[in-house]
Amino acid sequence: MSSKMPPNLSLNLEGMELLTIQYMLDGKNTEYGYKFKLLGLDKASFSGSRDEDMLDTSLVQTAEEAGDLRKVKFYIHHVESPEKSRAVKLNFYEDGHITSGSEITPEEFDKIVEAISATKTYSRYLNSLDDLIDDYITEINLKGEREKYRNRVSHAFEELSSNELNVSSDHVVDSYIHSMVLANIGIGLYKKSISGSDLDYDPSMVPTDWNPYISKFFENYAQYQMEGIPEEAHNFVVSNINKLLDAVDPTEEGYSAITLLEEAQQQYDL
Amino acid sequence: MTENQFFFREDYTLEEMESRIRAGEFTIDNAPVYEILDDTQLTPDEAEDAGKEEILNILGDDLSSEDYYDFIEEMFEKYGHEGDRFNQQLFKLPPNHDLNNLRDSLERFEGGPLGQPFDSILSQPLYLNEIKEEGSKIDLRFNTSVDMEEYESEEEIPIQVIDEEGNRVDEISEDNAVRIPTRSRIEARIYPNQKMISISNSEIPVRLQKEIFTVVLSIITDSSTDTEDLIEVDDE
Repeated sequence: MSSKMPPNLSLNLEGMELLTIQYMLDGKNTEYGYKFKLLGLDKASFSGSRDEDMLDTSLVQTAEEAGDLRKVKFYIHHVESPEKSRAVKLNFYEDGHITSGSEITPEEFDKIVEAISATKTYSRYLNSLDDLIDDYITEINLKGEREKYRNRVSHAFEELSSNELNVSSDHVVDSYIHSMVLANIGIGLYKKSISGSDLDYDPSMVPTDWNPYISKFFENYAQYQMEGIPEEAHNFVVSNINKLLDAVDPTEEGYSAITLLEEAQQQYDL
Repeated sequence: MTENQFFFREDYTLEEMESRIRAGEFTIDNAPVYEILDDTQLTPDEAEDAGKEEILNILGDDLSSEDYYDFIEEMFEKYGHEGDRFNQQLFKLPPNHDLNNLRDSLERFEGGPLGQPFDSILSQPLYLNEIKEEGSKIDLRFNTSVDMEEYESEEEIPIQVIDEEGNRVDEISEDNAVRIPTRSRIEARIYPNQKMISISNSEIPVRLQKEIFTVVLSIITDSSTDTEDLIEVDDE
């Protein structure tokens, strides 16, 4: 027997998407009992206090095996009545259902849905820098050199968002998401350069003072992962990232790394 | 009963308010607690040593039920956690459909049991009982039809009869049983801007939830009986 059922439209959220949701909801990531591989960053601040009970649950074990973050914690600020401010834990299950460990109002739930929606919209640009480097690193370096290379690339991106957007590298998640977003926008621009549209850029915007590992990352990624890169592609990519960094105002209310994606979408139709 | 309420919750029972105030808030440092002591036998020192449960017991004995209610309400408004623990399933809605007139389309099915054109979707009677708009969002409340469930009273844990405020007024004696009409309540919220729907996931069969999703989907995809847009899948 069969019946008419809709296509599977439930939402599966991957680790990076969950981290982004948490980031958008102002999450604190230090409470989680499992390790999160973060390049060049202080891992201790991510592994945090290990709650043994939590580790025993199959939920967390599954998440560890899959490398996915399955619990998201964030803080609800009540401006009018600070006494009601509280930490909230959400559990995201593989089939797309979500539960909360404490009381949430429908309005607060709406914020969660908005964060999920924005995350899903930009999901293509949420590949961690770590994973992007994994795509090609085995091709280029001797084993001993790889970690050094990784650390330098991730340090370079950290430096970029710190210098240009005042993102403190002490804010591990903030810095991490910025690196991820900038790297993915760059790759998006590379893809655009292959598509044959004319590579319009302002030569004066080609950065001269960036850490050379930014360029190294993009050049290596393009070299090993893409074909038919035009000669001017690299300048096109970095100058437009530079322009993008100028276009956003990190002091503006509501600014987040997602603002960069929104701006890139508008400017370059990525 | 306020079971399975989330989007449609409007008020809280006394019991709910009590449980949503953290024990730590029952301290004389909080004005409502300090002020209520005058009407009770408790001294500030005693109140500071007593736990939440003890304080509530004493207040319950010393105050009129009206004053007790007012006190709890004041505490709840100041310190209580509003909202509910939720268990929700999110689904994507088809991106290419205009959801501007969705409310009108939905309203045609409000009230009575959902019959045609949903016969082919539903495996049990279902009612779309309430529709309300919250800003850009649309909330839906569905109910299944009534089932009778029988519960036997036991000596150790007898079935209690309670009043509106949750106070016990009677007990069903041992060996007697009660028949309780039950029906599932399923709430959903449609997010037209995000093209998503969230459907309650707690204590309802997956099949029913999928059916509700399919009903909404078929109303969106042109409110027609046609389930052409839907993909045929085998039953699990």
